Amino acid sequence: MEKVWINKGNPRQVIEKDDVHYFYFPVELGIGKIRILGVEIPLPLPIKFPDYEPIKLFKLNGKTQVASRFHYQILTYFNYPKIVRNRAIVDFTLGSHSPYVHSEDNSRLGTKIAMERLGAVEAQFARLLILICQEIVSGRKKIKIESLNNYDVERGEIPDEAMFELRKCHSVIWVGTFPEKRDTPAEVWHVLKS
Amino acid sequence: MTLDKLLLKYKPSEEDVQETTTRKSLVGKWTSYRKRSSLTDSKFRIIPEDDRFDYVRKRSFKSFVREYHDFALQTETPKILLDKDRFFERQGGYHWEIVLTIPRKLVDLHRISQNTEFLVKKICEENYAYLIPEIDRLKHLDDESALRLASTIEQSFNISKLEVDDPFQKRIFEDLQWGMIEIKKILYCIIDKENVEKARNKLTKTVDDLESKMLALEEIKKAFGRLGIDEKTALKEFAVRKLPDGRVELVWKKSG
Repeated sequence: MEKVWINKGNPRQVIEKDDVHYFYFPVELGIGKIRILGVEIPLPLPIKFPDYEPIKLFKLNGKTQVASRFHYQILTYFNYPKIVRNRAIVDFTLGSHSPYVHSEDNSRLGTKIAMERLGAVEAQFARLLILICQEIVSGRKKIKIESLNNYDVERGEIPDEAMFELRKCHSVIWVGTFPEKRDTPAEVWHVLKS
Repeated sequence: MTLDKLLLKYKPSEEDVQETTTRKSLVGKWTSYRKRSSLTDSKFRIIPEDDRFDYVRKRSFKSFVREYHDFALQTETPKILLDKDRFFERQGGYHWEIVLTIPRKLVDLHRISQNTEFLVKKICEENYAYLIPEIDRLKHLDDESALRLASTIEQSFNISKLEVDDPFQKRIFEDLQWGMIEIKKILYCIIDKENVEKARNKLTKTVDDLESKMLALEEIKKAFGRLGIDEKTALKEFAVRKLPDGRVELVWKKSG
């Protein structure tokens, strides 16, 4: 599979399997609490060991498109990515490492969310992610391209539960152009229309 | 109409009565008549729900009797709403008369109403820093008080869920409401003295889990602030519609 540029984030390892690049982070951080002498203190605590963030590239009608996921259930679909030197650019956010693909300036944004399948915390995270995307596509928040980092790809195994299977996603967040069937990969269209 | 006495009338015929039971509980006094040949209906509890008192107060005695189905009857089986037709069907034709005498100190309508209203305000503001200590109190209150508080909080989540337009908020409140329903179920077990020790451990764990969830929600909410996002304003920029497949579609309006 073709590579992307990493702008922010420092994955420990990148593993290619079934045409997907899995960016491996040893720990995903979340909010937990510890109790010391009866006092509960909120702390960023590891919530998942390890964390695999997938990136899958599609080439359709000569254009590059990128798919990833958020919290294993929500497909993130970037169909109008900014291309620099033939590659899309990805940021891995701090903590949850959810990939964000840099998109062209006049990008659009939309979602289809199966609310009843999200827990309270997941719904709050999804809202945060959507609003961050909105800030970026509206131009209110600028994301700078600081450095375009390459990476080495290794062959390896991915735990079954971490495999990127689009059919397991019940919701989708798209950034770019309004998805039309003729411009959308079949497996992404299936999630959009299911 | 006084609030002190509520009458739900299902009077059995004399020859059918095998046993009359009158009991006092914190929610009031009730009398039940067990129908001859039945041994299954001896255990039930009536839990008056806070807002329902307000509802009853507005009605005359006569019309109140017609509204009995607004009360919840707790039996060994899951909660059954007192709907006249269903009631007879579910209970296999038992008849009983229940007189609830509600101590005024327990039905402080004004306070309860204010509590709910205040809690709804805090919930809609997503003020988890306020809500977490309230939930934590459930571990330390006596069982009946904890149940009343849990009912008030659960009801407040229910109202808040209906109050807000943001579909994410709706879902968050709904999920938290389910957490409160779970806590109420455990409290019912404790009050009924069913596996009390196990139920108490489960209560502590469930309350802790709910607190952790709220803590996480609070931390994510702080992230909105740190990123300079006003979620209420930001979401107004989205066209929201419910899709036939049950999903919610949000499309950024400025997308054209």
